[in-house]
Amino acid sequence: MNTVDILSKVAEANKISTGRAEMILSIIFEKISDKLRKEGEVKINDFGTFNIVNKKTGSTGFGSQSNVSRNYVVFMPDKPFKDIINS
Amino acid sequence: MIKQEVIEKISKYFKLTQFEAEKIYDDIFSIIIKGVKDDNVTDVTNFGEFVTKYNNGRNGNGNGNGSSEHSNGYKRTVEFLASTNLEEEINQTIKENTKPGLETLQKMPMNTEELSSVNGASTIEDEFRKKREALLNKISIHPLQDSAKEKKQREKPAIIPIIKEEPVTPEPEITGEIPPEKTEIIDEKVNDTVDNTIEETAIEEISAEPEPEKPVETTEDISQKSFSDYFSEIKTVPEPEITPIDDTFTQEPHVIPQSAVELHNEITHPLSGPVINPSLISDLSAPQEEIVLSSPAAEDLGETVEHVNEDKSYYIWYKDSEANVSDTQTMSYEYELLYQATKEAEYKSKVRIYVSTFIVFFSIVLVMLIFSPVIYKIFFSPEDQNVQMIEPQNTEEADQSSTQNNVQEPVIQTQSTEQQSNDLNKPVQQEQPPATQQQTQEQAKQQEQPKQQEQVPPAAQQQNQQQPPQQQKQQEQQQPPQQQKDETSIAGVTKNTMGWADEKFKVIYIKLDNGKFTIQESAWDSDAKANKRISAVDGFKINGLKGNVVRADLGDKGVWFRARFGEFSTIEEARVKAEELRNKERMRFQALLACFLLFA
Repeated sequence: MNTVDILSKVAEANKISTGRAEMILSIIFEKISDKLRKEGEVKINDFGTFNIVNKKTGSTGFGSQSNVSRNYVVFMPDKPFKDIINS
Repeated sequence: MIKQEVIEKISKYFKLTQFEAEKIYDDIFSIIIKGVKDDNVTDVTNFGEFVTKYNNGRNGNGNGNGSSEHSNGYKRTVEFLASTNLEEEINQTIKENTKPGLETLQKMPMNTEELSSVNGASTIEDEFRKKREALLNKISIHPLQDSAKEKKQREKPAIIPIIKEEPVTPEPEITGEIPPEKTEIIDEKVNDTVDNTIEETAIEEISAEPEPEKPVETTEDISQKSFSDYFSEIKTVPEPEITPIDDTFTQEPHVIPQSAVELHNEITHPLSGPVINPSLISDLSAPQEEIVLSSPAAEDLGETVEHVNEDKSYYIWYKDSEANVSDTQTMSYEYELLYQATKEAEYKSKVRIYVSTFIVFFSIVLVMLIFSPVIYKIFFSPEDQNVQMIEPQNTEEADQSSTQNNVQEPVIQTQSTEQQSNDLNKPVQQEQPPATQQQTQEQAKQQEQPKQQEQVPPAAQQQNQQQPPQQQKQQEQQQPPQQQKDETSIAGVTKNTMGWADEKFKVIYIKLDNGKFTIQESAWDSDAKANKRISAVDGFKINGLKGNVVRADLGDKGVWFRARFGEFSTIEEARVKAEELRNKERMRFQALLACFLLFA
């Protein structure tokens, strides 16, 4: 599944245009990425938690990043998400 | 909460309710979850991919059937692979945050108020500002800006080689004469000057570069060209490279309506030549490479078909073609903004019209409500009074004739006067105190006297007439003056030929044969109208106001139907009821106006 599929399904379910759905999707994920950059952690209820993890030290957040050059995003799914995909 | 923020933003921007925005928000994540469950991967552009993974470390993509693995005891989990853009942005922001001096910069006061609060002196403000600017200049050497500069330099390959030759000349003059400590300073200065000269020469060369001369087309050439030649010209023009914003949208097939293709084939190649295969074009799911131009003759000869979309060489303009749904739905961000702006403008103009009309309407209704008594007087009461104004001119004969008609034509009356009097007297007598009962008995006796006088033969009447005036005076003295007081002493009630006209309530109190008073509320030119009026007054449900219609033939002025209500022992009682009737009418009129206002 890619973005086009998501957009078409959202547009169909809510009776809006795909253009509008695209804008809403971009707003949501821009907000998530902004918050992730600023705070280092974003939690979405019933979906999961995004964390920034230091590659060298393995610590989360911005605690010890003075000598670190690389960080990456880790996603921890919530229980409902896990239950759905394992059902 | 990110959810609340996003919902508020969506609802504000798209003018949706909180509920609708929340539903869309939830739908997006539920669709992502469903996509992960069904397809093992969900790709969100410019954000990342959600991929299923098994506890033993195997990726969900490789298997394709998660249920079999699940049955073997492995549990699926989700891994997020962030897009390169997102990771770069995150790393960049972290770098910016960890740069030395930034913390001190952030802590520094930002405006004059803060400065004055910290130092209490405006003279230090300039020093702080300078320090801040210096720090900003240091930090402003941004990697992105550097890369942008490099890009710009790379984009001008024709200019840079020429300029690189220039900085070689000053070096041999410096060597040997200047001490090595100062060479670094000189090098820096030289580099600065070189950078400046590069920019200047670049600008000069761009301005001095002559524009390529276009071949001049004569009118003959233009006239010789056909419509299809313009299409081939477009083919030769190289299209500018556009960086795709979204990979998914660039993969969408270029859709041409089938009718347009057929029309194009008819116009350009009526008999032979390359023909676009409509079945391939109309298939939306087919990739672009499958849209081909093929000629039947070429296929017969076994030649290869021409791929049109490799260079996007054909253009078909079809005047009456309808836009495809998929094309219209995938609007660009800018167009969506424009659409929103126009919608907002339309909405505002509509609202303005609605509000202005409402204000006008409301003000009209308000004015009507304020002047309701005046309107009531003008439009409702005079109809009855104009009629009444005619009647007082008649003589007593007319009144007598009306009473005679009442007797002669009992059918017209809704109820006979006797029945009414019986019905009305009963409750009145019960309600009256003993003192008033005595008065009524006396009045009844007095009323019987004239009847007896009438029954007296004419001879006796003559005798009575011949009686000296002293006896008449004695008889008048014997009659109680109370009744006369009741009839004349009420303010606003004047006696006329018909009865006692009440100017305040616009009614006439008529004295009946039984000595009681009735309220003549109005007179009408038809029986139906009079009955309608009586039913309207009955609607007010006032005790003691039982209506009846009395026919009055006024000779030249026609036949009138008088609406009379109730029977009362005194005028005062009748007047109280008349007042009640008018008050209820006024209240009803105001209630109607209020309802009208609410409806508006």
